[in-house]
Amino acid sequence: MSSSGTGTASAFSSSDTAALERETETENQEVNYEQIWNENHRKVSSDWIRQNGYKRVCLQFPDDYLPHSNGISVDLKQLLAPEEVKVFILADTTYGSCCVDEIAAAHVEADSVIHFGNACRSRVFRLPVLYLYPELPLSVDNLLNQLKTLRPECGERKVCLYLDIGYHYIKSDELFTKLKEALQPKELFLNVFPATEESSTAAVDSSPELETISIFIGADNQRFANLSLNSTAPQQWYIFNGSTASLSTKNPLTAQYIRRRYFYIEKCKDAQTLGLIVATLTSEGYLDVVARLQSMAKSRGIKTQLISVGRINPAKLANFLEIDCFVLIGCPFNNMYDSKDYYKPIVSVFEAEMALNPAWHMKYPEAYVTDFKQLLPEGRSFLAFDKEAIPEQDVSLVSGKLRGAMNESLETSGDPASLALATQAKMSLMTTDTGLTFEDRTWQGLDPALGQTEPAQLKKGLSGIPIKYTHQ
Amino acid sequence: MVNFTVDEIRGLMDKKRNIRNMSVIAHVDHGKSTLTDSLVSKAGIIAGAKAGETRFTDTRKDEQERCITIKSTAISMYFEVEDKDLVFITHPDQREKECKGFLINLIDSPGHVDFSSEVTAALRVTDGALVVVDCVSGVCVQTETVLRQAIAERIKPILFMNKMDRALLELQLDAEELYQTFQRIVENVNVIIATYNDDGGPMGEVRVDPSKGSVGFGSGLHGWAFTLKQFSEMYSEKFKIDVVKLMNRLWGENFFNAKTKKWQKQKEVDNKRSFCMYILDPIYKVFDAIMNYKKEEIGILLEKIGVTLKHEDKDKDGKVLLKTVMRTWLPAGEALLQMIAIHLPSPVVAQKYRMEMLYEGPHDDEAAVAVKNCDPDGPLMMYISKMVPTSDKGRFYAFGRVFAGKVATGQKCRIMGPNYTPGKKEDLYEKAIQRTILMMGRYVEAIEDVPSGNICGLVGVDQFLVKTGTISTFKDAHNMKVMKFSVSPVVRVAVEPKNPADLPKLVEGLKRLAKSDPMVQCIIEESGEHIIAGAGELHLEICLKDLEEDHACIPLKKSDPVVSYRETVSEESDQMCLSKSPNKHNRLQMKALPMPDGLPEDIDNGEVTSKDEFKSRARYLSEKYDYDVTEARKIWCFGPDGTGPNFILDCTKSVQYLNEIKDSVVAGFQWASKEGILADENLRGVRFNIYDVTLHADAIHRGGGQIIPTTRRCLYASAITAKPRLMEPVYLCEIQCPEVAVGGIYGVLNRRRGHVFEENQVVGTPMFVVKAYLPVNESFGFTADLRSNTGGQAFPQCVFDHWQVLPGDPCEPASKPYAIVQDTRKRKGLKEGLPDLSQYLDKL
Repeated sequence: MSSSGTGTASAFSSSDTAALERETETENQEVNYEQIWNENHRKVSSDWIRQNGYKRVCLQFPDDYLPHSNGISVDLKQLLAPEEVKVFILADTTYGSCCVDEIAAAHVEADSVIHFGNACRSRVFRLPVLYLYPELPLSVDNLLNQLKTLRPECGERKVCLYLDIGYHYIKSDELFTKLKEALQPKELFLNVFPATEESSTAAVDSSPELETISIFIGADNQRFANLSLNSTAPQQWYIFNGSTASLSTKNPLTAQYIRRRYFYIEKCKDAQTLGLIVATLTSEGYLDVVARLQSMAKSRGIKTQLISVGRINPAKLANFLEIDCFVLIGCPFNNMYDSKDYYKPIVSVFEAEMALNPAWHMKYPEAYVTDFKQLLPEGRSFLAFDKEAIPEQDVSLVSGKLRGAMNESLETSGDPASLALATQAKMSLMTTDTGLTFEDRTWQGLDPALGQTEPAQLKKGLSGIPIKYTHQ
Repeated sequence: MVNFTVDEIRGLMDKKRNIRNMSVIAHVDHGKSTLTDSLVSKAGIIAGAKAGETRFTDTRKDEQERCITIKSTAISMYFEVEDKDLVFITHPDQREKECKGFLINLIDSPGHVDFSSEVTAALRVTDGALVVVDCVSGVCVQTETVLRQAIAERIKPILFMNKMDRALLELQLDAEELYQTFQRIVENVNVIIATYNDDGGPMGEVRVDPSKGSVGFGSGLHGWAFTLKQFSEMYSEKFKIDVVKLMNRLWGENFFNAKTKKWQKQKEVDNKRSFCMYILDPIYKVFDAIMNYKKEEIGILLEKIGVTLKHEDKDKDGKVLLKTVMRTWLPAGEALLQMIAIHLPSPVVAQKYRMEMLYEGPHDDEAAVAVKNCDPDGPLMMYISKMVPTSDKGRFYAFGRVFAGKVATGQKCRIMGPNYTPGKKEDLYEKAIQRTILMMGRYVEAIEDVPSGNICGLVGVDQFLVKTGTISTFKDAHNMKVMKFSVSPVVRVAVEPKNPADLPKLVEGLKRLAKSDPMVQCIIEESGEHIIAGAGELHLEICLKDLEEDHACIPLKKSDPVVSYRETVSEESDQMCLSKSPNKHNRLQMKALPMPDGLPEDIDNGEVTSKDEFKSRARYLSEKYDYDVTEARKIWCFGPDGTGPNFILDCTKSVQYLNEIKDSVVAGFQWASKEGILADENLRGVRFNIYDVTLHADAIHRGGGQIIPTTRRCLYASAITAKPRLMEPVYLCEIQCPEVAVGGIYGVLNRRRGHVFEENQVVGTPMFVVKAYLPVNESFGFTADLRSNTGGQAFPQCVFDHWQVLPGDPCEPASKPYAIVQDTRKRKGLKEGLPDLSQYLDKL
């Protein structure tokens, strides 16, 4: 799976150099075969297939696992040997390797998917999925030793430990007891991240009055960023890096990150036309989000355009010259908001919500919301949208100009219909107001000048071949 | 007791020939607000005894504490002019028949250079300017700046020599010396006027002349003032000479021989200069008698000058008595009122010649004609020049001048922002005026309607304008021209709330701040920094204080001041730069080269703009900068923002489909010129030439998606190969100080990379004026540093002057520009290091 956020852009027909230069979304540490396919994995997956009687199984790999994909597939087939199970390898996922690629799986009419590596655990409802995480080596003793240094701080506080995907396997009651002993906190929680459906992180919020210390066992990666951005209330963060076995403190970046994103939120408010990019096909509720964004934009007089372009890259989005800002509706782990290569800014659903929903106007988010489901009714960060509350006027802090909501007083003098039937000569052309204004372009296509040019007389043309025409 | 009512004022508003709209302008500390007090007290708004101390127009607490005007303040006043003075007003459009009452709308402006934008806003809505000069320090930098601005706006000046009390009491100048000082100041002012005004121009002659009465003398602090007219009136009986003729005799090379009773044109042994003899001598005598406690002499003198002391004043002596006597004898309010009524133009006169400077539209449309005639029955044309905060937080009065028609409470108007273009809907609102009000210094008075030629405030339009705008009822009205400021916001600080959760309040506060100041810029940068940009350190200090205390009301963290840089190139690209589109089917070839000196400034000043007709622009470029005419005709666009000092030029020969990709190239150019390759800063003074373009034959493969990113890469490659450089803003710094301090100034300037280019003695004074260029980056703490190195004797005025290339190669890791580039990149959250050419340049 390549990241289109970094490196050179590529479109449909990129040459081989582009493919070679393209940076991949690799984890900082390389995984070896044993880490992603050990006895445990083999047992779990073969049992799962057998018990459910699946016949066509897809194995979905992220890019950096691909070297091992063939081995795993062969091995799995042998494990299930007597039964006739077809195994397919899925790679180069459309939106992000963290999401289950149901569409690709449907192409081979698979009845189940085994997903390897980084997962966002978005709800999948078409196919049964088994998530297999790598098992990275970790010395528990070393971990406990290092954590002991934090003991003085933990005394009166709540401590949450999060295990990154490579370390889910070490979660056990025994570890919990050991940790409690090592840290001696007031309360202790041990969670895996991303959370599986059975074990939610709800327990963490139980005693909000206590100060929290959070320890992430993994590395300073995208998942950590996601986790820390999403957590409410300022808290102390520590990262225990599993590969180097070192403990480091990390300042919570929520405040700084939100401050940075305020620029894009302003940009989004400034936009005349918003492009809603649907970059997921599985996430639950994405259609509700689209509808919500459309209605909010409409009541602010902002036009929207819904687009789906497969994997996003700068070249594809730059084709929409008239769109001022894009909203990416994708899975929470999909992060290309920071790339400088895009002609127009891309914001997350949460940022678009902050820009468009007046309820967020004077409200500071406690945490960054990466999962757009939380913004829908019944979600944790849902705020009702009240059209009346939209301030009539506002100054943009990006352009320094005034931006207005709908200029109702003048609306009557504007173009009346969004769908106009134009009759040109004898052809009837349907022109739709797509929300794009071409009036500022210098090139508006060839001018057909219908009915204005004299019909040409039929003339005798040239004959022969170009090197020697017959009439010369 | 205020000696007029709002109704009286409203009545006078219709008498447009009896209106004077004027601003008081001067160098900092020359006594504008103090002098203004004299008029305010004459109008009865403050007590006469308090005039000069109250500084009624300094309405803010910090203005009173610091004794410096920060915001310009307007006040409307009603006066009656005596019949004997009315005859001096000869122009038929300068007074209404049978009306003694005059309405003076006065705006007191700040003198510090950092607040020049306030002066600009004040000048726009007035027709005349009272230029105040401290006769001890003479014409200073800011005097010249504001006077130049006034003339450019077609504002007629009159002159006032302030602080005569100091000249007499502290400097003890003798009469002839004092005359020479006055004479020099008048000359200096007239030189400036002559430099910027063409006597044959529409305003005619605007020179100030004491013998005409357009120059006043006196002391604002003590509340006395006179023009030659006052003295001439006193003596005309005695000499049996007509007042006007006598005025001519009382100034210049006119000497009177007391023995022969003859007027002479040259100085001789036994004659005396008339100005000294008849005007200064009596004043000197009064000063001498009172300050030296010559009781008897005082009595005789008082009788002579016709001053009878009130009972309660009889026991006073020294300075207090002096003030009382002088104020009774030569009341400042009276002298000023006469100067204003006689010499400043009424709106009827002024708008005739100001219309073409004010209106953007055709000069013969309905709006233009109404403005020209100051017609209250024409369509409404009003210019909003600034926003004045109300007691209601976050709301503002829109303050401005009605140039034509009438603005009334409840009236439905078109509110047009600076980006409005006729026929389009952008920046245009149709709303009703909630209320019209009269600005009275610290108070406001509601008023039903305001006809043309007046200054007033509006309630309820502030939300539809950022800083300035035009209000009209005429559907086809164009905008009034936007104001051009003499200063630029080059100093910036980043602010953040101490408590991150206050961020929305900060954002809201910044929006309010952006409205309340004519020039401040409040922006969010891509790095997430909230930036406030102002003209100088003092300006920023005030803005930050306002933000913290009034607009956001939250504790803030402020960064040290920083400057913004520009990126440029120093040579032509050393190779043809080729970039391929993502699909490899389109190729662009370009080069970058620096613009010739002066061209970026020409673009800044609007001499060369994107709106020019392309042929005349090409002619201009070829004549002045030796550009090839055919090439210069093919400028595709300016950037950033479509107007900036860079352009991209089409040098291709017969390329197919070229016009189809123009929009995409332009978009890419706007992008790349806004975010330069070195540090994401704006580009300045770079010309890009497109030499060749190869495009795919199918339109779908040469769309924006292919061309925009490619253009950007190609532009970056061209810039990298053209020896990129950084530019920094530079102040023009004028420092006034005594000779002994000059050495100290040089020391401080040298340490701060400044260089002196002019050093002059102010004629007739021991003061020196040193002019120097000082990088803005080095100017932080400069004032304090200078003061400590010169024993507090040097006072600098810094104003942004130009951009200058920062010496050193930003690609050289040891250089200063490199360090700046890396700092900036770090601050903006960009990858540190140098741009890699291979990322942008492709091989054929």
